[in-house]
Amino acid sequence: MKRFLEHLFYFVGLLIVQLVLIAGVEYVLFLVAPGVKQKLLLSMGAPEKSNYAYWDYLVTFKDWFGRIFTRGDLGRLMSTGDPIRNFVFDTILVTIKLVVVALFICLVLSIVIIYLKKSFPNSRLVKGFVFSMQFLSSIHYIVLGYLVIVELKMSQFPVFSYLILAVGNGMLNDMVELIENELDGILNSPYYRAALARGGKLWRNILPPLGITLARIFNSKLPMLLGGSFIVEYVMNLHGIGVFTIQYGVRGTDYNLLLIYSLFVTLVIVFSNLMANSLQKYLDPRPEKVF
Amino acid sequence: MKRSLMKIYFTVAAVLYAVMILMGIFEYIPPNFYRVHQMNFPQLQPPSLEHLLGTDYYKHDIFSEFIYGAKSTFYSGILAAIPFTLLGILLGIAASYYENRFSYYADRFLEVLNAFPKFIVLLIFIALFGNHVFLLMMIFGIFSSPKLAELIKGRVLALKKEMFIDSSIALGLPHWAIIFRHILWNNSRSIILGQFFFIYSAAVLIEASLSYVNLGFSQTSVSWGYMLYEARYASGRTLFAAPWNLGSFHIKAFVSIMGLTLLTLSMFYLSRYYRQKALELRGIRE
Repeated sequence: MKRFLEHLFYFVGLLIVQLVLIAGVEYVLFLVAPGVKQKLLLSMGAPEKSNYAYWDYLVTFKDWFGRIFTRGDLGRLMSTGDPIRNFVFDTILVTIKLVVVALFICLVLSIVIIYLKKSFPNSRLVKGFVFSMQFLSSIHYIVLGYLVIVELKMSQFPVFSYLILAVGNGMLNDMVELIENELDGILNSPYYRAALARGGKLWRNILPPLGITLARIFNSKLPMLLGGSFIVEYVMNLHGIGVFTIQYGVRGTDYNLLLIYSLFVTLVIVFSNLMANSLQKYLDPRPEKVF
Repeated sequence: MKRSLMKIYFTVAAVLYAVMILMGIFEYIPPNFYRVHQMNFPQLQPPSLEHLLGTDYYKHDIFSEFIYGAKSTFYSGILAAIPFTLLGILLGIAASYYENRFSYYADRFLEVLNAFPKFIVLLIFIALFGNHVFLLMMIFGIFSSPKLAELIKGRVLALKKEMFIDSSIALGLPHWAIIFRHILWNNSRSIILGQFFFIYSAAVLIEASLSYVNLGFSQTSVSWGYMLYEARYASGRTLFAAPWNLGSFHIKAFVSIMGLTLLTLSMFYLSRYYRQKALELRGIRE
């Protein structure tokens, strides 16, 4: 229990430190952009002044981050004056649902393809299926979206959004290749053969190393999926955080919304990074290297 | 597909692509030297000798748009690929060849660059600095460079243990000659070429996506992504419903889809070919 609490404390602390650091770098990037400084500070709740001192920038960032962290107050849109909290959580849920379901579909499809390739290596039917999936996966989201909406006229079925994100832009190809390589590595490793020779269970010896690998693969594919989810939202007319941000943050002047969007993306990526590391600690029985 | 057939396909595709890019750059669009900003053509004309692929709802000549779109793909691909290759090689060498404090910090810098989601970074840059596609594609190339740098780093770390590097040092060869001639040119050029084609196709797709949401080349020139966007919002009919009744928008969607798919697929297969070549060099056969 004590070890678990220590790990949890370390996990949350590291998450907050990384978030503050990356949000700080993004804040500085926003400040150095020409013509943005004044609008950014006002949108983040700073008092209106003709000239800001260096101290004001720091205080504004601290107050803005503190309000988000302690009260969940995300501020207001500059353009309409509406509180961002009212609609941002719904849009974030749409995006998270899209990414998680797409990741799950991609994993299931990859396992099916790898199973078929391993079980029926000489079947022409399987080869044709695998080739057609590889070809489909090489096509970009916007083309797949066009085919679904205009050619198939099936924009009302949400499953196509998940399928496009799971398959398109080489996602499925990458996933199949990575999992297959790792699985081959495990199946050919000496420890696995030794475990089999001693009468060990097949899944007990494969699952922990495969779990570490899957966590690492998910972690590496998450930024691509988050970027892709924005395009799929736009193509399939979903009201996710990406479309919402482009409407107000990129085309409008609601820079605080853009900062919140990048904070959300950073949070997801940092969280998945830390989760992958923690999972490795729990699943890998070998002792950690001490430098 | 057989290797000879692949070679014929790639040669024909490369020649056609090069001709289209040159036509776009020199603004030589037959049959009547159309320029893309000319909008005085009759609306929705079918293909004819006058307009090779017809005209669209917005009174554009579709063939001209297709050629200018090819030029946009070339600019976006090259603009991303040059900083990607240069920075990738430099960072890869810096993080691995000399094992000192500098290489440690170069390695950490790689990790930081790798952590940023590229599409989000592009969106932030568009919001802050406007959508200058030249700048955006270079930013995309820079933020993608860790992928090449990691591969170069792995190659350098493996090659440093080889005898020929030790003997080159013992013979008094300068380090730059060992790095550029022995490591990069003789042993890593397939990796670099493969990654060059990979980032070219990725940049074309990123530019098409940005143009699809009206944030890319669509504001200054024509892009295949924007052609697809226009075809989507102005077309009521589908490509396969009545193939005998080919309206202009069918052609517009068809050529932009074919262009994007064939170009990126070709680049993908070229990148895989060079990756296999790099593996064969190390005695690994897939």
